[in-house]
Amino acid sequence: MKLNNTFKSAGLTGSLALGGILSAVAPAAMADQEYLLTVTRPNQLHVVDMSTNTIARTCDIPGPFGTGSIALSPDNTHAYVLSNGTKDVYGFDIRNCEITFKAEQSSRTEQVITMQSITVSADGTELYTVQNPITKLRDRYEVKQPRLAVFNIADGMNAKAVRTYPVDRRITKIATTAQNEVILGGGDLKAINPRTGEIRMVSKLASWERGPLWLPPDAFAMHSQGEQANEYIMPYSTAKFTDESMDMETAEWWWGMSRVDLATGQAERMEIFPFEFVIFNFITDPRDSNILYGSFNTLSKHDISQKKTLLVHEMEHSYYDLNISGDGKTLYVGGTSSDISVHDSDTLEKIGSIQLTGDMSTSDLRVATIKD
Amino acid sequence: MKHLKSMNKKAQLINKAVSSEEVEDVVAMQVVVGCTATTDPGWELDPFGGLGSLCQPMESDLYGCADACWWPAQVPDTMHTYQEWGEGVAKADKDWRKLDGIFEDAE
Repeated sequence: MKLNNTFKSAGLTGSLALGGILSAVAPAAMADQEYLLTVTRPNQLHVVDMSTNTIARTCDIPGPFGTGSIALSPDNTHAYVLSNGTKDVYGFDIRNCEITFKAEQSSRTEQVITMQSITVSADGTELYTVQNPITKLRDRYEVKQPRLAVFNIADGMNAKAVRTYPVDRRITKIATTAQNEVILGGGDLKAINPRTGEIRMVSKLASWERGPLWLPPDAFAMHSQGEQANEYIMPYSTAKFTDESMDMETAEWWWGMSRVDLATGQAERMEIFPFEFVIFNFITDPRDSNILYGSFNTLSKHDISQKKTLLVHEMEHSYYDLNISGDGKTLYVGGTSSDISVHDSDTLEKIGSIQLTGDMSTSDLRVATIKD
Repeated sequence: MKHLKSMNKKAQLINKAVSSEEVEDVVAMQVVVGCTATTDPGWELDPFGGLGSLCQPMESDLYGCADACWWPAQVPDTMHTYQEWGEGVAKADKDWRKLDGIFEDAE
């Protein structure tokens, strides 16, 4: 990693030492303030003040690292984080690092893994995870049906699932709509009613029926973070063949997405621009739903109304994910290593860097907006 | 099998499965990125058959491949089996020399 731009602005730098000092003395979060949340190795939740791009506080998460998936309470004051190899969930008051919730999902005989799948109900009273259980028998493991698990957040430090409902395999990111359906990002995009277990199809992907000229989509959501536009994005790549010979050399390759409006639960699926380079994660500009940004080895800007790429900025190293300020002006690009790269959304030029105490690895990059 | 006698419970189960031709359904592993479930190419070659779209540098991607058990053949599985592999190395790009291989025989 090159560090020549890392310390461009001292005001944008949150070092290990600074983070440690601030975590001890930082005042309670101020009103109407945006905070960037991420998790780093070995296992710390960082709360970054987005008005100064410095670490406001650092919370130690019990147990080994757990992929860093984060879900926020509706008022954004609490963050729920996967830990211990994604087996456990801890809840934090991000204003003071107090641990308010704990759920150990595994038992002596059953191991439960949650692959990124964590969200909170629209009213903030329930936490949802998708559990992938195996029974540990004396001579073998037995793979069991994945399930949506419902926890009462008020149960606090010894929470157990109060309801479970069977769901598909292969589910990663989930999100809650205003109608309190849980969007399940798997082979297809589905939604489950966490009161009844009823499941509906939201957007067909693996089972789409577009005929032989379209390659089945390669869809995957590891980092979907649409809190600023109140949406959930399942990106995919596909190819349109020129004829039924399905010649990949002459096919048109496309990025596409199924995008769910979390206010209504309605989805749109579309090809968005040509597949010319790899992108790990997309977010929408909160000011214009036609403008998307993507991150990986490049930071890119796209206008999906024109199905074209507007800007591409080469990054210093790979970054898995990104997020955006509420005013849409500033991009935060993170994941992988220990620095969050800060960029102007108009030009994509780098304007700062936030240094963290460890690698973000697969962690989320969430924005919590704490209002009055 | 007719010349062999099942002496314990497991052997009886095997005998039963073979004799009745009842074999359990093959079930996909529970997670798409969970250890042996993945068939995702990408560590050695990118989707275009080149190297430009691989994670760069490799150290940026080390924990991302280990923590989600994405490529357990290439890096240790820190989700299940080797949770301590990265202990003391919070930043892989700084301290990658301290990340050792896995030697089963030495344990």
